[in-house]
Amino acid sequence: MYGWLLPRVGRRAALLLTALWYAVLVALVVLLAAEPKAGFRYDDL
Amino acid sequence: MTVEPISGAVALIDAMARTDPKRVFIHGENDRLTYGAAVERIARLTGLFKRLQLAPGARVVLASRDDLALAAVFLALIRNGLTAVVLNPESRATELATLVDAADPSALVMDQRLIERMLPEQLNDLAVVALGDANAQIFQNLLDDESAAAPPSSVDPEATAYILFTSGTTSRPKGVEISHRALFAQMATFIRQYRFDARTRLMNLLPLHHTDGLTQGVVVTACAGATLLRPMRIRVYQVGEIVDACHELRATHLIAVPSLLALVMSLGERYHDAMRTDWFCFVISTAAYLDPGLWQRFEETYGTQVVNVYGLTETVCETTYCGPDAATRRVGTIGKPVDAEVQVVDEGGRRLPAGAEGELVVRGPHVMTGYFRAPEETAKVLRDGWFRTGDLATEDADGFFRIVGRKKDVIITGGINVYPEDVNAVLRTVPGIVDAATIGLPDERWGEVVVSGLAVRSGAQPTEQDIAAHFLQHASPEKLPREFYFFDDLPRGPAGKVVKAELARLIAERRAATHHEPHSGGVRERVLQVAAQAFKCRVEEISEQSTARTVDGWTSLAHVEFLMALEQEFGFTMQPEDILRIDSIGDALELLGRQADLAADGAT
Amino acid sequence: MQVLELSWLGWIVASIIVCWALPGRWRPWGIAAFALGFLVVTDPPSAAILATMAAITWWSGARGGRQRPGVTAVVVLLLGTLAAFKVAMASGGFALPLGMSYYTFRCVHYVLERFKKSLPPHTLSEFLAYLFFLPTILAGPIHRFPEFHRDLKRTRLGAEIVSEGLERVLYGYAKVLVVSGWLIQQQLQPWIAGLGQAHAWLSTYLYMLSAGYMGYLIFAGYSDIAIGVARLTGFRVIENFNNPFASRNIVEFWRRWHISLTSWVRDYLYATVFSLTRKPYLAALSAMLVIGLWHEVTARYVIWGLAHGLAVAGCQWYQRRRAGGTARSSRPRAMLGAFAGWFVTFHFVMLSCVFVMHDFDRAMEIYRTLLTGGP
Repeated sequence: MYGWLLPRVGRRAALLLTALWYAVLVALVVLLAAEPKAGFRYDDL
Repeated sequence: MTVEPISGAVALIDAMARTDPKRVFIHGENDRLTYGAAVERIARLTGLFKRLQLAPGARVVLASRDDLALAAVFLALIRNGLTAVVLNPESRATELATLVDAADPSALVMDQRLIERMLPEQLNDLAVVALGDANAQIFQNLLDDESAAAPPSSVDPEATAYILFTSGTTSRPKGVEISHRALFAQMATFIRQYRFDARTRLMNLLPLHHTDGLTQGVVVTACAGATLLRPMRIRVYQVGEIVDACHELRATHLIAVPSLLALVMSLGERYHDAMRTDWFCFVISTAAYLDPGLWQRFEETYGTQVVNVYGLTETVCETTYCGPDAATRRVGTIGKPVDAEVQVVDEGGRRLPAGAEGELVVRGPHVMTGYFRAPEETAKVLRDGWFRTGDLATEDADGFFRIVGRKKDVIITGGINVYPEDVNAVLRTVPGIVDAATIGLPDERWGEVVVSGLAVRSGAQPTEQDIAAHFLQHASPEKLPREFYFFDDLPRGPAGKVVKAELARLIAERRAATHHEPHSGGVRERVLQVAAQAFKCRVEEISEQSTARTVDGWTSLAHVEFLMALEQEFGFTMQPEDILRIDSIGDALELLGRQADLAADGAT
Repeated sequence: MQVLELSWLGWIVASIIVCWALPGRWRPWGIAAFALGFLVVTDPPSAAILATMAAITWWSGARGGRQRPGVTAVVVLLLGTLAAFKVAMASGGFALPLGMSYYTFRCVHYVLERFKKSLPPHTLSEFLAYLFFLPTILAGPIHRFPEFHRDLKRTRLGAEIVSEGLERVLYGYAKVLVVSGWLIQQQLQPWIAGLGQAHAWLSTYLYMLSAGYMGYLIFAGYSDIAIGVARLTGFRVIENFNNPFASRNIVEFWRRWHISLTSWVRDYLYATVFSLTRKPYLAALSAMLVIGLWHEVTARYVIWGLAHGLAVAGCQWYQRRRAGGTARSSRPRAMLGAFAGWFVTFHFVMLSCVFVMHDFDRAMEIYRTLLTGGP
């Protein structure tokens, strides 16, 4: 993510946006996590 | 931990016997030879030589792909006052016949495969010992049957230790005779200059039938009580693994030719820390001109010093050193002579002032005795105690030498010397070719490449494919010219001799006019053509390194089409193991190389 | 699912910390110990079976792995064991040892590469670390020994490793828990089901897409987690997915889907079948059949495998025929062709997913609805 943003928005912006993006994802995972039901056949997951 | 200087063969084997027997002497592809095992083998080989009743000074021809066996036999030979004549294990029948004839040996110690290439008449009166090529067990079995014996208590330092043939493998071979005195003087210089000791782990993959592999590899390692690393053959498309192996096996020094360094430079970032370790000391570049740009970039990228050295087979191995000490180091030069004298002289042998261009001449204890049974040739290069190298050089005000050209007729491609006359002699035997002249053209990767101008009988021009096929039956692959240029007649001077400068000009013209492709006659070129067709790409876009991951069009279907096309092109059927083994174009080339081997044996 | 358990995470974190702390020579032992320890604690029979396979693999490489008959025997033994377990599992009752499908293929890869003499010199501990590698032991990717060995020797802890690894892990969990679990399964699918009565065809169609895409996201998510964790341990492991639903034909799809599996099949099965029969299309068919059977040894996966096999062989045949002709398509024509290819491929994949994600009757029901528009 950082690497992708860097040439587009510059170093500080890339750092900030990346940190923000991670924070959002972490928040989503923590708040909305739901385990997908089985019936999923990829072996021993 | 300083090393006691080794004065001769007797001292060497004694020192080896005193070394910890479990210490590894040579780390080979599949096996390791310890000092203990090596000394044991040398003792048994002594028994073998006695049994064969080889007289002191007798010559023994040695040629094998089994590095460990070759090293042991070589050391045993010199310890017993016998002369080792080491030949290329890839020699074709014609080459073998000429060289064995010229060497006039009393015995042959060669791979079975090579023995079969010789004519029965030649084998009369010769003791023949067969080695097993990659099968090391055969050598082991051989030795198990011999009992150890005591070698002579002394060896005459002026006696010839070994002979290596340089030019004229097909016409008049020149065998360089190196005495024990010269050999061990060079070893002492190496050990002192490179600061080798028992902890040294020298990675040297150069072939053992060249002096760089033999003396700057096997012998110097033995003299220092160190370890020689030869875990693989050099494969152009597996250069990354060589660098990895340096790191993994904790090599302290790497000996390489400039072409290998150029290939290493093309590796990705992942490899750049391979030599930035506590234990790695420096890289030694030998056998060919080292471009200063490449030199500097390599040092910067890999963070290690490159020591450029200069020498010839006629001076055992090296004469001048550029590093590792500061006094001899100046990038772009070949450094300064160590334990020798070097001068730049004119035609008359008079020393030239700094900056003037002249021939480089060498004097020192490491200079050859002469060319074997070729007094006129010897007299041409050994005059007034000085050896004329045939290289053109200059000396600067501070005593550093620079190579600027070459007087002698040799092409150095990828660190290997190719003699135009050898190439021409073989080309002239191709039906339809009236005459041939071979020159070297500069090349970024290889230093130089071999190209030939061919005078053909009109109407009977052979195809490049045919020429290459015929050539490879009679000479080893590194001599095959990369490009062929056809003429009605070659440019000649008033005396009828081919004027090389004019030929070079005509060839350059043709190259500029029609971006000349390397001919498709060589196996490599044919494989690349087949691959380019199968993968729907251009020949320039692929190389030995190409794999399914690097070529877009290399799908599974294209892969099998490639294999089927190879079978058709080269007229053979692949075994399932072979098919499994082909992951890259380089693998395909290797497979074909093995096929060619079988064919060469079949052809003779 | 194991990967979501806190206990698994605990093992992973502990292994990362300890393995970086260990000196070079002990690292491989540490890596193997953690994976083996996890297996022993979680499912002792699995540990025993996998350890036995490791022993067989190592022994064959060290001794018998030079000759063709010996190698063939070992490969048949390994794959046969996997097949036996899968058959037993299909007929009910038996559970497959943890990660065995991936594990067996790694063993076979090792045996064959050893036979080809293309492996770098290595020790028993390095071999064990390769097989008993916690990040990939449960659900792949089927990583390869040479790359693993290189990383084992050369890797160094640094900022990029930590950030790359963490990012990947985060993306993985987001894909599994947020996008698949919450967004698709809990928000989208009920709404799709709600369309059911009035718009049977649309509901079924959207359901098919959501189920298929979810299947992809979950597996891709787990691969991300495995790859991310492997990265944190210092290893760069082969990718498993590369935007598979952007594929313009079925051949391309199989180069973008479950890459570690398909490249294994291509390198070992396809080449072998071809070398024995010299028939490329038969080899392609067998390759897809094996991929089907790798999932489950059941009739539905045989059918699924054959369908994909025929599609791949057909596509290859078509591409071969076209290759001879001139590339004369104008830009709009080319774009139309690419879109058509994508459309057909995408739907073929989705429809085939239906067949294996549901029992036969339900699958037929879905197909009927899509075809006829009614329930």
